[in-house]
Amino acid sequence: MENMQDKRAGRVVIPQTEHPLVEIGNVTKKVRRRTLLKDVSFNVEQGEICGLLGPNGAGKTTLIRVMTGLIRPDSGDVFIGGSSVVRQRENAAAHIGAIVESPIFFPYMTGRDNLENLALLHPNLPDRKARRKRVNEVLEIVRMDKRADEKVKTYSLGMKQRLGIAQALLGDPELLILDEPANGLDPMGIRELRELILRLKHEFGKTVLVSSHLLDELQKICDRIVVIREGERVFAGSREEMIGRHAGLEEAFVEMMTT
Amino acid sequence: MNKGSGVGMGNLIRSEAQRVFKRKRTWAVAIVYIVFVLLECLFLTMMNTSFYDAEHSVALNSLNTAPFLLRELAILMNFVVIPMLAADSFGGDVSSGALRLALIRPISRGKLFLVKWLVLGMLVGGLTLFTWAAGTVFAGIAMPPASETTLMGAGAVGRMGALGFSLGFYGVALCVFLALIGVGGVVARLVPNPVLAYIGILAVIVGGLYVSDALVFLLSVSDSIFHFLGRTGGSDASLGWILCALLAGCAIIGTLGWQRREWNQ
Repeated sequence: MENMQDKRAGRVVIPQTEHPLVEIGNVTKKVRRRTLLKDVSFNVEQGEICGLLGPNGAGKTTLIRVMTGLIRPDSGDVFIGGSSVVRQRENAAAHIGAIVESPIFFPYMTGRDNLENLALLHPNLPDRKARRKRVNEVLEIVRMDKRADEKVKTYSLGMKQRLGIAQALLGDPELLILDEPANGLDPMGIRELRELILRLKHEFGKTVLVSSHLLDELQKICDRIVVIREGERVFAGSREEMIGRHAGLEEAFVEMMTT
Repeated sequence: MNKGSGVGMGNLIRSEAQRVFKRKRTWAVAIVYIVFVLLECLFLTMMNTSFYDAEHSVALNSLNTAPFLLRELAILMNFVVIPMLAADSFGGDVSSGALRLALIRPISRGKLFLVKWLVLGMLVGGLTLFTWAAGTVFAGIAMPPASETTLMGAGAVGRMGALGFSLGFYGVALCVFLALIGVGGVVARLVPNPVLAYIGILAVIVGGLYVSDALVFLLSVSDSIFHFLGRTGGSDASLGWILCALLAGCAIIGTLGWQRREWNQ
């Protein structure tokens, strides 16, 4: 879906649609006898930043793997842009850009080579000129254009995270799924990441689903929060609803985890 | 932005070829193989004799040398070149987690498996073609000249007959190599760790002998092809259909396996 640029405000106007961009319906996933996800359901609307919260082992990465089609749910389904991830994975994948777990690249290539290689896998970038242009655009968005021609194995974790976001943006997807993008970043890196995510929402009209343990950061950027505990969704609502009577997201989260 | 209807095979092949040829190990394996081709040429010049199998020797000349160049090189190909390339391509990037970057894109994973097979096939095909060309040119320059020669099963042949035999020989050899790449893809589907995948492929080559005599061609490629082309009967008579079955089986198992597997790495 095309996003329209509001020239007066310099921001993207998100067209109102009948259906949410992401619909997660009753997803259950078991591995051997262990239930990793149990009947998880929630929606993410177009243009939102949605925080996915939960303690270690709660099922966040499993849910992200299901959303990106890396694993199949035992029951339930995920619809992205109206396409089922289970039955129409390639259609659904065209709407998604993602970092799943840590940002791992082909280490024998430079940052630019990695992006140009992956750009070949997008139907909306059919010719070389379009691919080069898009690679330069995404490198500029994440401010990696000056280090793009160095081998990935020389990059710091922060640079790898930014390159991870660049590869996620390659196909100009409506939805970005970022799994623990702040892992290993120093305070400056975390701040830059926060600003980048907000820019992606406001300037480029992206919908972002971000999982993180950094509750302060999520409080600053998220419109909606989903909390998962032991594979079950225990909360889905606006940031304000989550915080409620508490002093902040952290207090609300701790209470939710301990009761 | 228009999402388009699908990624073309050309772009899938280019993407895979970039990954294969950016690995230093690919170049190292190819260069080592080429050095062995040249050393084997030197060795044949000194020996002037080779073997169809353990019982039949043959004096080499300018017309019959090319197929015999592959005799020892096929062992290098089946035990080192193909297992290393297949373990890296089908297992390495899966094991490291880097292939996730490709797997989450709007592309068919079955096609991705076939493209990996195709790109490795083109690389191994290039090395096989180089071996044939080196053998043909080297024989014309360095081996005793002949206007006629006798080849197993083909009888006495002239220049064109010998050329046709050597092309047929290398063509069947390439099919064997392609089948082994397919086996590598299936093995790496089960054990993506490149070291374990490498060992697994060797285990299939050696273990095949215990399953059926008809699978001996994975171990002694040139003997089996000489027997197959020479129509000498025995277990190698079934080489043609076994190769077809192996290629089809690997294509089906590999494609379905990649479409349906859970990507936990």
